Amino acid sequence: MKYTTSKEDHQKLTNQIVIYCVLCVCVIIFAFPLIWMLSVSLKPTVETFSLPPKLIPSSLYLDGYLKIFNNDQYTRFLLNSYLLGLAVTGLSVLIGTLAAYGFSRYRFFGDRAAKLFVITTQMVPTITLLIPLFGVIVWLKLYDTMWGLILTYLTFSLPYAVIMMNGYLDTIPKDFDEAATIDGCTPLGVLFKVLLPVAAPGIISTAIYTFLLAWNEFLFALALTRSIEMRTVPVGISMMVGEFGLKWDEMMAFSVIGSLPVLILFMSVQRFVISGLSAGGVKG
Amino acid sequence: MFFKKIFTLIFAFSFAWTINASAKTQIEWLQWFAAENTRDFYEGLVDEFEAANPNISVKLVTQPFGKVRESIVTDSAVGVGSDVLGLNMPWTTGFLKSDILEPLDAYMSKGSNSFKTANLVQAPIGKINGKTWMVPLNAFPFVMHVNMDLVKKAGFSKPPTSWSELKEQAVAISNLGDGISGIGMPLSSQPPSNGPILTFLPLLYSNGGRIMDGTSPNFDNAKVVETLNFINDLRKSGAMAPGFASRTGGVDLEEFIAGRSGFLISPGVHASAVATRNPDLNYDLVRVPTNGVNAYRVHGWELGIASKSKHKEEAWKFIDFLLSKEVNAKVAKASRALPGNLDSLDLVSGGATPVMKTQMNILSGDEPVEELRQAPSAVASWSIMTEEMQSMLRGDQSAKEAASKVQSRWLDLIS
Repeated sequence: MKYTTSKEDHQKLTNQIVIYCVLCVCVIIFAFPLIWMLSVSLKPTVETFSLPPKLIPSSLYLDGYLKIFNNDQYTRFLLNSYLLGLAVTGLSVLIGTLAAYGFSRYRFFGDRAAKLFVITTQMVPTITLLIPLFGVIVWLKLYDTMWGLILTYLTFSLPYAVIMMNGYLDTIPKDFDEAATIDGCTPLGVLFKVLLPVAAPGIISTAIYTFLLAWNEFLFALALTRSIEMRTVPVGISMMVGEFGLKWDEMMAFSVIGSLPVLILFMSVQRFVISGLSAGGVKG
Repeated sequence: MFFKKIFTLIFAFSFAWTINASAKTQIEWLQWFAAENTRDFYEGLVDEFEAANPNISVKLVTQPFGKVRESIVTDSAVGVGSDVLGLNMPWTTGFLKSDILEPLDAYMSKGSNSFKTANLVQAPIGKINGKTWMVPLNAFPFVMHVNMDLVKKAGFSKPPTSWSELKEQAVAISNLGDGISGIGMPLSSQPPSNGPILTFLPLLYSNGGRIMDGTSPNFDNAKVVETLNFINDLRKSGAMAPGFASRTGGVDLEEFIAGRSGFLISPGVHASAVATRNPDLNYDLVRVPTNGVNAYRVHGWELGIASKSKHKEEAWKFIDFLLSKEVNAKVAKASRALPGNLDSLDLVSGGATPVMKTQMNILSGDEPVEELRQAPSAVASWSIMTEEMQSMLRGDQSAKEAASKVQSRWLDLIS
């Protein structure tokens, strides 16, 4: 019996070692680009291309960061990205939750078809929508405006928000609704006072996803804006790739500055995202 | 009565504002130049123009270089195109197919222009379909940048002037080891995949060769084959940096700046990048080594007017301002290039850096060549050149076969 336990312990230890080794390799693979980005942002370009490559700069070089912080244009890009991200996130979560509540709690004519339509929109490659959306946004006279981008991003984020929130709300027993209704709650009261507090992880994971979508998006931000005043962080970074060279230090410094808030945000609500995705995401 | 007065006042102000607003014409200038140099400089130019022309306002629209061509096409198709367009010569025929550009002949013949057509850099203003489509804002001649420390370390006292010297010195520099190479050949397939126009064409022109016969492809000629053979020879002799198939123009430049290669064939404008990023580099700039002909590939930033512009006269007025002697000299200095209006040369040379002066001296007597402006589907043709040159350097085909294949694929492309 003792021998068996020891063998099991040994097996368990071996498994753990293997798991940690694999995890370490994964961490190195996924973290290396970020570490290299940080490294390049802190050294002059000439050192970036030195041989053998140096991960740790020979001296701290902050020119890239100083150029970013001393240029109003880059501050504007950051502000635009934040505004865009927050607006798209707020609207997606609000409208998505209301739509999901309808799908989850009510049966009405065409509800299944509508739900199927929402899911189908996720299957269309976004690149194919560029030209039609470009035309629509110009026709609406929203070209080169923040509202044009918000409206465009909602077309991608809203279906996802509906699907996610619908899946999450489906996991909450209807007994909650019935008890609240008996206590005198209106349908919207049930949603906001009873269901939403329970569905917080689902809301947070939806919000994070939509914020990241708006924050990282490049193609539409480039195509649907033209003024410097309307540019976002990804387009700003691409503008550092010039005809005659790349501003490596500035590009990487701006990438670090652009990544940090999102990284901090994601790390602080990570557990909600995982529980939100696992609870709602798989149900569709 | 009181409200009536208030309404009258509001109406009067609104009317005055409307009249004032409608009297001012706004034009857009789409370009990537402000992303390359300081944005403040171009905003200053716009302010200067607006001060002299109070009835015209100019909106500066800056796109990253890699996206400008697509932007011009899509903006024009959707109807939101700019009035004044920053152009690159190889885009010309593609734009003409889409009817994006306005012919400039009528504007250029105006007696009130601030410049003389004869004084402009001639390459961009050559006629296509019997018309002129663009004017040069500035010009970037291709030269060879030299790491003098490596040249001396390899046992030579001065940079190469001929192909044979180039090969000899590049091999000797590569033999120094430590990851150092003689010369880079940026033949990456990654868009824009333009390595051949950066390195192969300047060598071809210094050999007296051409890739076009007017507007028809002429790639399978003896001069092209000879130049391809020379490049192949550089690889076989170990003079070329490894990884040509994944090397981009940007990497080629950065490795030169970092002191990892002896020679870099690229526009003279890179001199400022070298000087600012690695001031310790013992650096010189020379004519691209020749094989008998002193000719250089000329590249530049051009300006055109959109055919759909509703304010063509105002657009021309702005272009005319940019080409005027003083303004064009300022643009040339800011972009560290030669002026598009050669009348500005004396102003540029007045405060020019020693490297710029050297560049002007080297190029004063040489023949400028630009063929891509008239090449059909120039951008697509770069990729074909890249693929076939890669194949040749891998040893899969000879220089003659590579030339024939490029010619045949180019003919397919335009048929």
